Amino acid sequence: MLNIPIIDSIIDSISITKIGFLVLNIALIIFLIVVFIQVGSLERIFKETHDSTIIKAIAGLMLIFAISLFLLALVIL
Amino acid sequence: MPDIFLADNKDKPKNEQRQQPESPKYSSPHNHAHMLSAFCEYPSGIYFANQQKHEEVLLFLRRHFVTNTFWIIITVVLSLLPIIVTLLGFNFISSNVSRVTIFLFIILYYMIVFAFAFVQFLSWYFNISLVTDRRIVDIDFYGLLYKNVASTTINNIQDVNYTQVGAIRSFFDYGDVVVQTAGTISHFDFLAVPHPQKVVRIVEGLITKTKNA
Repeated sequence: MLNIPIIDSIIDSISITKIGFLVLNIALIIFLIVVFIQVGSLERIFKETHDSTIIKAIAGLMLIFAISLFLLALVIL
Repeated sequence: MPDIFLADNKDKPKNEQRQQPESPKYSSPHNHAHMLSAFCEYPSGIYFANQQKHEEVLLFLRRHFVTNTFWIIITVVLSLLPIIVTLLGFNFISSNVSRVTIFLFIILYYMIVFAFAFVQFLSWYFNISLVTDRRIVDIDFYGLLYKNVASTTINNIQDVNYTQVGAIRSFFDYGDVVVQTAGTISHFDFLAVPHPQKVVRIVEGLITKTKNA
């Protein structure tokens, strides 16, 4: 407790579980953004006819899924 | 469909003829490079940045797929861990935590595991070496943030050799090929590539061809 009424009430209203989940989720989203950017830049260096596109699509889908999960957690938790 | 007209080779400029490697274009099963290919002669459908117009990729190399075993096992163990923990009856989750929260955490956990496996796969997939009829290209990609692209012409290659140490490497026939060059980068390493003796033979053939030309 910080003994500041407003901040203490905000901390009380957010559970540790929710904070933990959101922090982990944000870390995962940042990680996946980096992965997506790297896959894009590597695809420009080296390209297999179709396979590189599939890999980029997987990276994009994972990112979308992680963001969806984050939004879902914001609503539910 | 029969060929109506075939251009005569003697019409080609001498330089272009010279740059063609000795091409044992036998009908090899390696010609089609698929997603998990680690060794492919004369691969089809593979392109790289700064590839010249008539530059032909002769050899496409990645680490042998066996080298992925470690992270695949870790991924499988991590995937089975929640199930094993549940089956063994460990209950470290407080009763206050709702089922929805547990469900969300499990999804997040599997996403993290999948992201780990995906990055490991990318490290293998994008860590490639190419031998063309004009140069060798080495693309290194480690730990998500390290990326290095190096190339040197065949003229610069001075020596090529390989090492194959250990029972597993001998059994699966993979090893490290070291290409020494006269350029700013002293050597190119093709690590854990399949059929290293074949790689050495092809690169040596290219060197001989270039020296004779």
